[in-house]
Amino acid sequence: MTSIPSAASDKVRILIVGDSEVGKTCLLHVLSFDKALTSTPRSTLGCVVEVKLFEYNHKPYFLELLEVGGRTKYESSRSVFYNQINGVILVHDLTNKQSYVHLKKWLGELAGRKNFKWKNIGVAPSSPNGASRQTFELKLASGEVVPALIVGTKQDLLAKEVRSSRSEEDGDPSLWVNTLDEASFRAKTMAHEALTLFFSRVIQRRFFHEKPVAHPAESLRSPMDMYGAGVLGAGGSPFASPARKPSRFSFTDSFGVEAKND
Amino acid sequence: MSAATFTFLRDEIIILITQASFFAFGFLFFKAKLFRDYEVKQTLVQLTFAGIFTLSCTMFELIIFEIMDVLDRNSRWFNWKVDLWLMSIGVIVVIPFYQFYLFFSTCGLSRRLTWLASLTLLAGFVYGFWRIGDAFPIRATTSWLSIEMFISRIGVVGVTMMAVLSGFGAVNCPYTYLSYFLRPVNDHHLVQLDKHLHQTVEKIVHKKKRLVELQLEASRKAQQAEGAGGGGGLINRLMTQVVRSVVPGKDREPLLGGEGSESASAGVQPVGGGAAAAAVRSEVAGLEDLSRLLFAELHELRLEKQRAEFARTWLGRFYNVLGYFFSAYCVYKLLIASANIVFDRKQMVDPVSRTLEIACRLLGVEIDIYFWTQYVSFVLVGVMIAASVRGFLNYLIKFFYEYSNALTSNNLILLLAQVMGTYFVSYVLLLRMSLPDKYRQPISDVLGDVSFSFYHRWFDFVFIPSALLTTAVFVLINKSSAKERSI
Repeated sequence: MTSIPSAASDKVRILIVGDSEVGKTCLLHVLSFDKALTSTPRSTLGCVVEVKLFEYNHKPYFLELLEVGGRTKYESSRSVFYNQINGVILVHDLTNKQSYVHLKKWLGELAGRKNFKWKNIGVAPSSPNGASRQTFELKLASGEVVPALIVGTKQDLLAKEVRSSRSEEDGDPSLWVNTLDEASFRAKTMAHEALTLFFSRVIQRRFFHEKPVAHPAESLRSPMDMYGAGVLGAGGSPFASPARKPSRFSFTDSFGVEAKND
Repeated sequence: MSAATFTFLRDEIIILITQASFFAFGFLFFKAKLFRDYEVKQTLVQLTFAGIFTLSCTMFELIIFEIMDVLDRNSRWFNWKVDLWLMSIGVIVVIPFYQFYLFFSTCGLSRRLTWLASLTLLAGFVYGFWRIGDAFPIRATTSWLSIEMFISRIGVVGVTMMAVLSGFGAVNCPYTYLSYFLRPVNDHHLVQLDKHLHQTVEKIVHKKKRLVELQLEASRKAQQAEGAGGGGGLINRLMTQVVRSVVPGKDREPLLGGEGSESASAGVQPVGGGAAAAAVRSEVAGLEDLSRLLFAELHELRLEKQRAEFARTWLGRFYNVLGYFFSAYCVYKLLIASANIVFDRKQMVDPVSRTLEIACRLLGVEIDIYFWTQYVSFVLVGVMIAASVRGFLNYLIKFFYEYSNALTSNNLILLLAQVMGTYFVSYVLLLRMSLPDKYRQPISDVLGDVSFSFYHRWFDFVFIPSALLTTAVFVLINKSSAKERSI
């Protein structure tokens, strides 16, 4: 019988970052407690940390979810939290395109580089249900390569938006969620599967030293392969659309990726 | 087509071209700098901002044209009138209405109701605005729908704003530029804070793990009390392990088996768990507050360190010297303002003419006053306008970043556009005093009945308390932070 790792060497820390007001604190709450946050939280100053019990291979692990405040004011001081990271969740607001564009800046901040290029990123080979396409690898400033996940929040508001420039057509590798809808995070939903896969990958990397999955050539082949037949959008949501068509707006374009064949 | 009409058309086209460039600048500035973090959903807001910016810049442009005698006199006068009217209507009617409309449309009322509510509030606003004018000794003889009525009231609000900002700026500027006020940052202190913050975060994590364990224990007990039930497979297993790892000596009670659940994670409720959990929870709350405090302090120290490093550079040293000049200027302004009020002086001669006169006497040379007045005014006024526009836009950006969030961004921007229009109109009113007599004509013509000296008096009247208050606040802040550091 194994015990729950509680020594310092067994820390698993996952960082949650993103622009101010995208819903990181709400996401953190629903991930840790399986319950939606009912009152609007204050803008996070510093960090908020929660602990989540996660089972992998029938063993329980404590995941530390550390959410860092996203106000530009504190940009220079945020880096105190960027050590001993084993995974990253990048959050953006589906109703605010700028927060998605700013993810590039966040990735650069985490990687410790001004101009962030996706040369070192590999997207995991797609699993049968397409849930893995949202998990990829990120090389941090410390040199480690950790799994990363992009999450888009406020999906419920997106449906109500008449004039948003974002539509289902946009090729977008993020996981679309509604942090106020607890049901969409329960077992057997798209969100749950993607998150489980992500957490599993984090634990694999942390404790079993699996090599980073880097298939740059494969990942940047074409949007068509990335968004194949999978259904995007949190399962159970009435706004889930049928199989997406690939579109002009691709993940690669928006982040200025260079398609290299390593 | 007569020559006059032709000249007029030609002038109008020139003005419109310059206005188009102002508009483009305002539009792009909005997109690139102000709305950097948000998606522009209401293009009308962007257009409104650019529009007010254009009107303001046109005013300044016309003043410059007046000095340099560009374009025909009548065209200038005509454009003045049009511009001031548009500005008044924009600031008093259009923008408030749009603000109310935006506000009500987010409340989810029907279209008709939104329009009705907005119009009602607008009427209230205009009325309130009117009453402001009654309280001040501004001219009120002529017809009440004249441009003087509007501009004079806008002027009151704007001059108050300007005086407050000037007071603050006059004190804040030397304070930031002078290196005297910078405290050396102890690197050791920084490292300590960093460590402390990390320790606090670790403690929070540890306590939250404890909470999870308590929670699981409580739910296990609850289940046992219910007399065993299915579906607790995962929780039971986890419970065993948690209990065994954390409390080694405890009795290993046989737990009921169950099939493994599909869920791979246990959701722990944030409430429940009994008294022990409540105690831990309050400890956690205290630690979280501490972590916020530490982070804020760490941030402040880092900023101070950056400032100290900057002060060591060449640019920093130059700023320091500038700081001394600015402090002297600030004291000078305060004295002049007090003297103005105490002795009730009416300043009639503008600084340009006065400086030239003094220069004439000192140098003992006969210089062509007319020629030099024009160029000196042009340079002086040009620099003043450019500096104030740039300064205002910078303040705008800082303020907007500080106080906006996704919900209020549109309303805040409209408010700031209103403030901008008011500010620049008042600036023109006060600028008149800095212009030599012959250039004051157009402004005095269009706004004939306004008593300009009132605005200067009012400016001094608000400037003094504002500057003194800012000084007091800064002294207090310095004292309290000095105390903290000595601890």
